[in-house]
Amino acid sequence: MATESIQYVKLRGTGSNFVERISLYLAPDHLLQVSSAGYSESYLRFYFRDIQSITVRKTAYGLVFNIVWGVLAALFLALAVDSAEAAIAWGIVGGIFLGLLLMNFFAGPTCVCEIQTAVQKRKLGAVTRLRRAQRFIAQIRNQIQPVQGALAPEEIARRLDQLRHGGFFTEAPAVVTAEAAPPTDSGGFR
Amino acid sequence: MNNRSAVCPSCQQSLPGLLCNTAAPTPCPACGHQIQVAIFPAFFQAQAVGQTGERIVEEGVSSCFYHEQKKAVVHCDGCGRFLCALCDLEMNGRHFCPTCLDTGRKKGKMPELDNRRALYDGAALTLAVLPLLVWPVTLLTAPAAIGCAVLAFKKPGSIVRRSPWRSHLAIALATAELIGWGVGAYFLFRGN
Repeated sequence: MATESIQYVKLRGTGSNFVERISLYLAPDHLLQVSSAGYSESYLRFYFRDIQSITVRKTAYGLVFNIVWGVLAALFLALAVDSAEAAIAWGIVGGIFLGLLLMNFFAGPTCVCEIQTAVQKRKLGAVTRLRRAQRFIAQIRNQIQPVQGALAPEEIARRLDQLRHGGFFTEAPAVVTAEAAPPTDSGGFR
Repeated sequence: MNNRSAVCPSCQQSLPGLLCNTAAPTPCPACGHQIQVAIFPAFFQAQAVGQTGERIVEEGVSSCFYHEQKKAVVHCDGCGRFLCALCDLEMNGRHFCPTCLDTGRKKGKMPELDNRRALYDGAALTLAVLPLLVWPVTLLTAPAAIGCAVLAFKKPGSIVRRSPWRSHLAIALATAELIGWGVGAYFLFRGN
């Protein structure tokens, strides 16, 4: 029985919720989502041959956090200006919130990214920024194309419209050459 | 046969084809949310249907190890037994019988089947560092930290590459704690 280890390449970006830290890794034939919860890791694999779609929805969380950090930074910096004896302490706290505001602002708008296969639809917790999601889609498309082939955008649109109006497909998809695929730009994304 | 259309991840309304595979997010015509949908050829593929073994109708044909009435189509890459189409479990181009697949999963020999792993190195480091805040308990936690670190070396760890520095540091700290207890005990008994 083969036991060779799979070489994983970590993708940039890490997400987290209250209990887990979520990262994405690329293997030669699949995408791996690793959820670390302290002393255990759980894994989800999405094989390139099975990935049907990736959807991204822009969310307002980034804007909300900009407002929250902005209000807190303004509040503490105002206290620093107003207070003579504790100006440095308030200034440090205000500076921390200002730093968080700048980091959040320059990271760009937030989003929710989902990946769909024939049997599951999962949220990718590591892809939380719109810019990163676009680079991620471009990179995944480059990995999927050699496995699944590529459909011309017009053909995809035609088939989707047919499905939307209650049509069915029984024939295999017409796989065309790589030139027909939408332009991709991995833009320095590892 | 696929009869699902692409839907907006926000309002679940089906999307026109032109809104898919765009280079940038576009507003959903139904809810107005900014969305981006990438569709791949597998979206239009029919779902794979499981196969059943073909019954043997002539002499001299190899039969399945598990179903002697069924024709063998492949051999198991784990144990070499002949398998019918029903027993053939294909995984990344390799073929396994159910027994080998189950054994490989239980023994952790097939990392591609693991969906959870314990991180003993992290536990070892915590056991070595955190009890220093309440130092008397280190007498108990230091051996436990060393035990966890040894387990981390023996058991399969994270399937993504992870440096063993946590285990080394845990062993070093726990050993130092035990030496500290030894020195303390020596001076205590020597004083008596």
